[in-house]
Amino acid sequence: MSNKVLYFLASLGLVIFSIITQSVLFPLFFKNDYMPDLTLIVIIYFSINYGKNIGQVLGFSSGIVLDSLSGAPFGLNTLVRLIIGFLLGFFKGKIFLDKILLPCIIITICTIFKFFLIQLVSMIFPIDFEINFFTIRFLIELGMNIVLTPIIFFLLNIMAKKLYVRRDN
Amino acid sequence: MPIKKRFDKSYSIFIVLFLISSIMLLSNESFKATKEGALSFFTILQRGVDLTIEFTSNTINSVSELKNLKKRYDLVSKELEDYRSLDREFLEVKRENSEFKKLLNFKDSLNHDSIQCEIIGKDPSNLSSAIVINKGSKHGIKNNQPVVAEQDGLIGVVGKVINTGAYSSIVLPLLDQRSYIASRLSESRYEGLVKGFDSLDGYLQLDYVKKIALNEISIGSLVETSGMNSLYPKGYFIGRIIQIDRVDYETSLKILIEPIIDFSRLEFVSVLVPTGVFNE
Repeated sequence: MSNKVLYFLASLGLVIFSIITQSVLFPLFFKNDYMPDLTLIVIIYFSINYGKNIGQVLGFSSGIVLDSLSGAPFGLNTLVRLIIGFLLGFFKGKIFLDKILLPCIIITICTIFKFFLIQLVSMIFPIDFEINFFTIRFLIELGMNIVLTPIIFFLLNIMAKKLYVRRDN
Repeated sequence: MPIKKRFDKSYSIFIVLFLISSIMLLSNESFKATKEGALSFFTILQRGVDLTIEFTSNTINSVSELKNLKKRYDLVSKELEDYRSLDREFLEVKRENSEFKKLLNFKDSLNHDSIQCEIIGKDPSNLSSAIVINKGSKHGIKNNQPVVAEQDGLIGVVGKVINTGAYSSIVLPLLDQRSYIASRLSESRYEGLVKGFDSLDGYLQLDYVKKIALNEISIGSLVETSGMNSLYPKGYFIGRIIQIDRVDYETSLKILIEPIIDFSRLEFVSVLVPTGVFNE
């Protein structure tokens, strides 16, 4: 199996795991449905580290899973995450991710960009979906994302290294 | 040259995926079957995680329960001679009896056939407050069926089914801004329209209640479904009035409602099955 396929399968598995965790596990800990967007964090990590192809396919496939489990119109998350995955893929090899600061900045920009894209897609496509992003709910999501991103990036780095070493052996 | 080839390939993949996503968004209805299939598939994973969590928490609870039982056993053994245990058992049976009575009353009090479901997950996308229940089309659940639940002795509206998989369904709660319910004030019988607005505090808005009703309604008044041209049958509670605003330039009152159902502690719901009494 080629490295690309292996990385894609591993990342897809992680994304599906994060979606299920977000859907089943997080409601037990976070009140009022305030949840971080784990999937977005994972997409960002893989897009920046492994490029446009893995980023966009991962964004697309995770979007389908999200759309099938959510009340949002089918295709909304798919399109938004595809664009995010693709655009972030341009940064492969161009930025050096430190442990805290840059991941926090990237997730802030990406979360705001995600809100903006959802708003834009809702306006362009004839879908029955309105959402007001200027609420505390989305500030909380942004805050949670910022807190969790360095931790998840750190864990993913460890996993990627182990996978890499195992492949080398 | 090889660099250019790779560059082109990623662009072509993006264009293809972009087109597929756009078609999915443009023809939502055509992809209904795909969504239902995906929902059924991923619910298996979701259910698996849910069961694992349930098993883990039950196991942890069992350990602490065993400890508690041991303590209770010692205590009861000591007090056995004084016949105190009898009293305790009597109270326990009495409590259970009252719980069972409550449950029986709830089932009897539903005027329609219903399917009891358990909530197994919430919307993972953060874009809506939809919930996932563990019954689907195989159990007779269809889109647009109303969902109710019992809390604190009142049967309240939870929302409606918006998507069904084979063994799971997605319920759109009445808090969602896409939710509208024809309603009526329980005491004064004035009609209105309850709509969700994704309120941070989980409140609903009651519109189109005439200003003349101001003297007859008060904070705490109950609001119920009116059954008028609605998929929700008549007589199910929606919420209690918590704020009434009279705006001079508007012809109707602006009323804020707190739902009867506390969604944060909702575990089980009932999907109402139409029996000809109300229309889907």
